[in-house]
Amino acid sequence: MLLDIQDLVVHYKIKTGWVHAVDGISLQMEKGETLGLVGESACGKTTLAYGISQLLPNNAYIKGGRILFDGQNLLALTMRKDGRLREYEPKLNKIRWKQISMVFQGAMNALNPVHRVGDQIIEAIVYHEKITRQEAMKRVEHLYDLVGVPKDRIENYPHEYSGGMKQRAMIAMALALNPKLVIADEPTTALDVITQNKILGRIKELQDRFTMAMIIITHDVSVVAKTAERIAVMYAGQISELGSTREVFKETAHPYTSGLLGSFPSVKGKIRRLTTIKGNPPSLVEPPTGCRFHPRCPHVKDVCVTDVPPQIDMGKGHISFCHFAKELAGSLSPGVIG
Amino acid sequence: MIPAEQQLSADTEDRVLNVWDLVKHFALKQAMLSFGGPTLTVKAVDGISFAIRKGEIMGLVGESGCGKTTAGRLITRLENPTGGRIDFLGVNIATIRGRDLVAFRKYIQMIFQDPYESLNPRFSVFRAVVEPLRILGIGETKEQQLELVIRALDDAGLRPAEELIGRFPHELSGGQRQRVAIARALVVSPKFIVADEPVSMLDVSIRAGVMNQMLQLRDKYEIPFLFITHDISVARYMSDTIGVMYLGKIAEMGPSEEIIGRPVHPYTRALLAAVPVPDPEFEYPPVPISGELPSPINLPQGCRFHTRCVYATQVCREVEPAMIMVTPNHGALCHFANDFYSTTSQPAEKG
Repeated sequence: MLLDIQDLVVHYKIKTGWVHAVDGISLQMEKGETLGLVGESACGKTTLAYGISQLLPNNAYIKGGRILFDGQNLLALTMRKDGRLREYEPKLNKIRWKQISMVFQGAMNALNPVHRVGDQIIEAIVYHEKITRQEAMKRVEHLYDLVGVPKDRIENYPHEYSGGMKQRAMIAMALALNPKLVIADEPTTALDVITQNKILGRIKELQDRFTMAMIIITHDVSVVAKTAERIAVMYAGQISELGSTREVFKETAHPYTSGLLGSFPSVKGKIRRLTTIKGNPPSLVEPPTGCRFHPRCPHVKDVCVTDVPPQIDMGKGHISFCHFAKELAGSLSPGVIG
Repeated sequence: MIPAEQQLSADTEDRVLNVWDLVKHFALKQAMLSFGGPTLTVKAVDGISFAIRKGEIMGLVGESGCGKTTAGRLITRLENPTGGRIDFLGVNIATIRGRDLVAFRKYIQMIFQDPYESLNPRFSVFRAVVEPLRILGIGETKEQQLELVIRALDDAGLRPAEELIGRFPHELSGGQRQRVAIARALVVSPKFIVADEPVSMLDVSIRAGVMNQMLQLRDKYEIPFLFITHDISVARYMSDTIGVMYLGKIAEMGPSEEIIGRPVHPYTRALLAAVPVPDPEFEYPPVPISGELPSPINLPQGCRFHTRCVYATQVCREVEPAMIMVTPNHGALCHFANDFYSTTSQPAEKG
């Protein structure tokens, strides 16, 4: 097993209290696997990613849980007594970027505008490996080939790149040290579909070639359908459903997933009326009692208001956190496309 | 929507908007060193024509920088056109100015992309929605204005309107804010609405509700919409007709299901092949396109898509294609439109 997250709890301290951004998440990943992490804005998906890569801000407190990466307990390395992460921890340098790298949301802002793009990648390589700049340059040329950016662009500054090229350069940077896990936070959200398609295809190719595991974080269920083998649906700081992409789409076992899939239009199949989820995403300062989805759920019963739903096993590694997963299964798949 | 080529002869009765060869070129500020050199222009909109009928929604799709937002801003006259005509209910509004322009604002309203930016944070919901009535002098008494505001909020799906009317933008969710923006457009009983990416900033679970609300309004009041979006799946859901823009031109237009099911222009085909589908078992075809989007300052000679088109021939590199109609209401800016049309299957059963 590559990644084993056990009951992770991350809260942010703000003036008015605590934001329960990640509230008891357990998740396992095998080597080379692609996991899609889906949810709306402020459901905690980015916090989970930053927790894995140990990049949480100073007001984030880890209140419990463990993150085992390749057998190593990451939090034991970096966590202070009060639950916050140390800002600088030299032991982490062997892991961060070398073993776990990230493609950040909005490549437009992730590159340093006053340095050449190539130099920024070379810097990451020579910092972690004992090789010369010339050797590192060779590797950058090879990486540019892989992600499909012309080599004569290595010497350019970020403003000379198009959005798609910046995103591809960011991917090249994330791959530069051959990591075991890449976390991609909305890697293609700002791009048009043709560029998105090119980049997703390229990522898949590279992944197969280097047995890299990947977490793709997105709000777009069609991107996950296209790229991920497994999918974790997050709602209000918790996982509501987890399973193979096929199972979650075709044998949906949580009303939230059902609502999410039903609200996506498609260019394929007959036009069907989009379903909506009533209400708004809840505040994470005072999350709802019982099942967090209960105020918006069309199938809500009394027990949902009072009791936290147990993990319900739907078979084949497919789990749902809904009291009525078994009863509702079979009637929740709007994602069935003609 | 009726292509320009046929507009002269066709019946014009129920047409609300006729756009003829609309052009917007932006002059770039000259760099100091090239002073005296040739002026560079960005051809944001480079001659587009279309028409929209009563109760019809036209989707305008394309990647960023294709000119779709500029087209919307020209029709609402937030930008002045460089050339062309915009016939709205029989009047050319492309050149009106001053008082006429203010009076015209009552008829065409716009909904913007970002409801966090488009609402004044210091205006209550009531103030935001009543403002257009005050500016345009609609409603004689305060009671009448209040009634209009409440009806608009109710039509936009903000219920109970009486309760929400005193709230401020920071007390509203993104979806509710966009509904206030819709109510603000509706309150003057417009004859036409331009909606520029109205759902792309909204959370997934909220988006569908706002889209359904707009479809409902169209059905109730027969208001035509120009619906601008980068997402062709959303355009299909919302629109009766679709125009696909590429570098300032409409590359293809026609009834939505024709465009989706039987695309003719190689660009539309590439776009449709690249769209991800919410179905993990879908087998994707290869995407027939090469290279990157050229700069709108230096447009390619001939067909502006030829640099990326996998079917391009000599004629494409030399001659700019005219709109070829493959059916009376489906056309494409491609020399080989008829060949492509006859070699694609009927759109009848897809899936």
